[in-house]
Amino acid sequence: MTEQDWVRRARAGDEDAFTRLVETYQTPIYNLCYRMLGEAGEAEESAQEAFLRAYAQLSTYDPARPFKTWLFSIASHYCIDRLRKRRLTWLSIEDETLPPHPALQEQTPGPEEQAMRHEQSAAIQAVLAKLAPDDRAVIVMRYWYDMSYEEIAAATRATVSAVKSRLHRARGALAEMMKTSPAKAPRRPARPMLAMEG
Amino acid sequence: MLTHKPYADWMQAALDGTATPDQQAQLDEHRAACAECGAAWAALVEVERLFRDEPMAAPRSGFTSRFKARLAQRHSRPRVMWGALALGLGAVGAAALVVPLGAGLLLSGVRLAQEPATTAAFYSGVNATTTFAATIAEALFIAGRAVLTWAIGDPRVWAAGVTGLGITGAWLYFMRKLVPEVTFR
Repeated sequence: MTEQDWVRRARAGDEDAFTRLVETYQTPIYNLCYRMLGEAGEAEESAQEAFLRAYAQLSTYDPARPFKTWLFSIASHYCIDRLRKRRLTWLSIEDETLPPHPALQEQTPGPEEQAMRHEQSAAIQAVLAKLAPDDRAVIVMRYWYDMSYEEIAAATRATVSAVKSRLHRARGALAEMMKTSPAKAPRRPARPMLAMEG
Repeated sequence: MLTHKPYADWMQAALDGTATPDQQAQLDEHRAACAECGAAWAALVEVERLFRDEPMAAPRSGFTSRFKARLAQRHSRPRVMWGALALGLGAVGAAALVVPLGAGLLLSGVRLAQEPATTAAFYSGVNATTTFAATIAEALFIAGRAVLTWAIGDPRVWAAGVTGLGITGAWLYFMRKLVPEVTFR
């Protein structure tokens, strides 16, 4: 069965079919939330909420669009809203470095390399946290999911030129931040592509 | 930030893989000559490498089970909402009945209190009530003192008291065992 078959069944009210979609997208959606929010508990809560919202809004999903883009749109908007609400209560996180995610700590072999990767993950989260929520969403979609400008535009409900402008600005800002606090780490094999089992 | 246009734009295009061969050649030439653009390019490439190498963060195991539980919880929410709505409407209905009734009684009371005859009757009533209460209290005190004097000297009263206490204690103990604990979620 293809992803669209699962989506069709889910739209017809099949909860198990939607659960199958949750299984497929749990890591990408969780990772998006984690990269956006920077905290594991909040990422879990937001990813769960994104799936619940997607389930509740399945009737509004246009099957002509990719399901992944639609799901990312729900999750990223939810995270952006959360960040905007959170900003009202923030005092200052300027010098705060966020701890690396526990799941990232388990994937490393040696203690020395592990330490370096922790440092890299912490550095990445710290610089991400300094970007504006909309810029952060664009960076996450570009780097972790290899989404095209058109896909990011569809997911963020922005124009392609706005996405391009945000990505270029965010890249420049990240490069500036990295110049001041560089994070060196060993190269890792490329991430596996997201695929739905047939 | 980069200021050397158009090289800054061409660097972004080069990262996206959309720079033309001519732009790429000019960019390479400029980078070799301009230390600032050389450093900027190196930083951009480093960002590209770091972010592309960073693995995805995965949720704790059991994410789907937790989702199913939340979904089931959401399904039960409409019933709770209907219950809350019924309760709210009931409260509004009760308030619609009680508020006018209470306001009417209050207004009647105020009007009655303003009458001179009412004030005289009120003071007379208070005096009579106070005298009656004092008489009853005195009578109860005398009776209580007499009963206590008799009871302290009678062992049967002591035995009845102890038995009563024992039965009450046993009843409390067994009730605690029988009634299950109530928990709230």
